[in-house]
Amino acid sequence: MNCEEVMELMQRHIDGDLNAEETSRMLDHVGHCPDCAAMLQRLTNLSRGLEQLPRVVPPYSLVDAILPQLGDWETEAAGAEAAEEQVVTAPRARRAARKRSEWIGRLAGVGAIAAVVLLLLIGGPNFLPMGSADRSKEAGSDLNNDRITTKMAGDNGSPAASSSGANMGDRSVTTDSPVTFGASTSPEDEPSASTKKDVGTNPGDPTSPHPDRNAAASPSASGDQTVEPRASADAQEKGPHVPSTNPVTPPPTAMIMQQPPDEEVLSPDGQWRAVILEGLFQLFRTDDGTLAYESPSNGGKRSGIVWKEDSSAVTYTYVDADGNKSFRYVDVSELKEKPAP
Amino acid sequence: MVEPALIKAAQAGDREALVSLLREIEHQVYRTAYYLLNHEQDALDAAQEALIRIYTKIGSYEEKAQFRTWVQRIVTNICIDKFRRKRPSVSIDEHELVFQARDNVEGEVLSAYAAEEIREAIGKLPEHHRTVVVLRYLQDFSYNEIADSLGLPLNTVKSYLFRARQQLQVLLHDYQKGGVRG
Repeated sequence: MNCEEVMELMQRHIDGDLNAEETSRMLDHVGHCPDCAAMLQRLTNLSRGLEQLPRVVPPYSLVDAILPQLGDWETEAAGAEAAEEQVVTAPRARRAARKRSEWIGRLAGVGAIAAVVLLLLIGGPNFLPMGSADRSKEAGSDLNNDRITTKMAGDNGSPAASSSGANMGDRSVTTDSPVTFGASTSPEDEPSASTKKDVGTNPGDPTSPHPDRNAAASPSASGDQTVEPRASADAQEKGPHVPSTNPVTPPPTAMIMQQPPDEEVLSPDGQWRAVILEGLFQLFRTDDGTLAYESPSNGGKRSGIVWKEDSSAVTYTYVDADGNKSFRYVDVSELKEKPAP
Repeated sequence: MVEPALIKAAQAGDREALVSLLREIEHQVYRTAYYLLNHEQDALDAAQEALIRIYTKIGSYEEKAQFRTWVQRIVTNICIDKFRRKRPSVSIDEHELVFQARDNVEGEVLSAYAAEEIREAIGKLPEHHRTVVVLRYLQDFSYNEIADSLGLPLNTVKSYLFRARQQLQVLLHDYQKGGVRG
């Protein structure tokens, strides 16, 4: 088994995709190949680092932010999907507004309050929409609490925070190791909760601006300066979040696996992207990125992508396992491959 | 995990169910957008756009697909579209995350790469590689779930993921060798 094959095994190993036999084959090789052992260590470290990336949360509730828009949608959404574009753009005057307050009224809880708070925060009191007085009344004393929270968030310099309710003590890991933008509270999504009274209990010190960042980002030549901030940056990365799925592997060191670069050629009209990746020819639609066509994986080598000027077809060179060279032709209207005419 | 009953109710036109459902997926949608776009404001915009699209398209969701892969398909499409349009200006430095320092010496030994280095490196990957990595690690998707989300063949998903990890590993290794970490 050569190192390249082992690379694939190591990659799959990291995803927990190997059976016992494959694992022992991999470990056999790694045991006597220092390069692969090093690579395995690096991939394992990388994978662990990826698993520990902070589970960022938005600085305010996105659903609350779009609720008013969703209200506008309501009248249309039930009916034709075709009306979609219209709805996005056109704020429907009274009819929609009335409907909206009806159903927001039904929600009655956090959502409505948060919507009001959001509007207050963004636009100030003058921005209150029609009917919001009623909603405020409904909201009752909760609103006062929310106001307090809002103010706190505002004072900490996070302009867009809506902070609907600020209940912080929930399941999210981000509570332990808050990764927030600025100091806003980040309400977890709690769909059915109707009242949230424990306000203003943001436990983590609202994180200060980024003193460490600056130092780390501009490492100066003088040793002391860089070492300190780096070290603390290292400490910062440790989220408590360690997803469980992937097994962890030991041994260490280095090997460079440089793969040949992909070919990637856009069609002249920009609608297609032809790619050669690891021996396969692939054709993607650029508008939605979907794979429209992929060559059969029958070995051999592919290269030399060339588009027809009118973007109707693409050709490339295929050399099969026996070294026979041919030109292949893919018509984008058929998405089939054939020998070049 | 979103309850199937909630999805059904939302599809049947129960607006409260639909809003509840959106609240349940809000964070996962944002997380993907954040790591794909590497830019807070763009991620907020994209995530909201995705939620609105989910709101309007909920009727077209079919049970044969997993709900969360359907959701991720929507948000990744929006993000890919966004970063194609404004790639050159995508910045990771404008809105830095603030990381809470943690005294965890053991963790420091265990994890060789800093989150921010990784995030920057992810930003350098080609879009499909980046998407596959984000779904794998920020959504904990399996190969199959990634394939379903992106409409890619399984083998392509694997080769993107493997290649992405190799590229990341080279980028991060170079970074370390560059002496930045002392």
